[in-house]
Amino acid sequence: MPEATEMTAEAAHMITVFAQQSGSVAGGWEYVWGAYVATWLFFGGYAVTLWTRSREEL
Amino acid sequence: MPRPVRSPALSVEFDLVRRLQIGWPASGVRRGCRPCDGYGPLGRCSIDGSQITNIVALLGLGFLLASAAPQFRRALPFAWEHPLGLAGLVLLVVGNWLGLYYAPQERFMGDVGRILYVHVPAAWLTMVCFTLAFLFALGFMFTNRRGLDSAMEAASEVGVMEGALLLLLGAIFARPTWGVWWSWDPRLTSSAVMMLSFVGVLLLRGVVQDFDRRATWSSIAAIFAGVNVPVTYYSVKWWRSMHQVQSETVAGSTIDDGMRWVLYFNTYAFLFLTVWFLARRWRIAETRAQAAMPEPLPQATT
Repeated sequence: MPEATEMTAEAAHMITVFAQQSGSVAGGWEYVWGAYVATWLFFGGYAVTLWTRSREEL
Repeated sequence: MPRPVRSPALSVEFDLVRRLQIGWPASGVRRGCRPCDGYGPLGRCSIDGSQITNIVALLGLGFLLASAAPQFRRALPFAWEHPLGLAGLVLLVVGNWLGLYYAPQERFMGDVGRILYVHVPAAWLTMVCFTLAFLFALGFMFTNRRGLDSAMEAASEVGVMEGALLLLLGAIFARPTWGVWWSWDPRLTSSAVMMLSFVGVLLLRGVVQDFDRRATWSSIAAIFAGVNVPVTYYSVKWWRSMHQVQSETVAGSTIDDGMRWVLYFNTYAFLFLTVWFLARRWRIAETRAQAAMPEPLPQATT
């Protein structure tokens, strides 16, 4: 049964691939910095708009 | 007795389990993160983070409660929200540093897991703001008090700002973990609908000039928009979602202690800053509402 043999080989290959991976995301600091910078930009930007509106209206 | 021979595939599976647990102690393995290696920036595990976080919370919430007393507010030489805003700024600096460098790596997401220290507080505070907007709108419909309408406007705008931040942070988080910037997942979709529905509330307030109509119509719209808050919260349970279910519930937490206190530290930073945003925005809305009120009729003289 050649088809069954091929499937078994493919499954074994996939298991080997999974085993060679560490199981965790590696790196990604650019995303981390992007998230923190975005937080500061949003908060800082909104604080500036509040400040300018306060000076005009309060 | 000869040892049983394992099949190669089974051997690889055992190896996979072993690889996942490299660096973990044999006992006391906690879910979610790599255990503390014993050394923090301030010495050997010298920070009891949960106690620090509790003290920060007590001080901040105590100040908030004291600010409710008019005598306390009058005694202050500045607006009552400024100390909270300043505290929020300091906490955000320290909390971000803790999240970036002090907190342990997440077990599966690695360093990318550090995004949760800003993503989760943004999600919580967005929901808090929209819930407040819903309650203020409901209160206005029952009492017709102008201050509640101004508070609803403030909570909606701050919620939209934090909701937009939440969606952006979610996209940044999704790319390295899910492989996509955006997915029409139930949690993501309901969050976007929730945020956009409050954008609609603000747009409605912008186009209606008459004060009474604007307040009534936008309150009704905010009540409808507020229905999205529980839908968003329960979306991960009601539908099949890639997004994880809630980690912090009344029943308990699935987050490791070493990560949870950093998360709460950042959450208090977000909370104090949000209170400052809300208070400042409410003052602006009140000033505008007063300016828009018609001049009082002159006193009748006999």
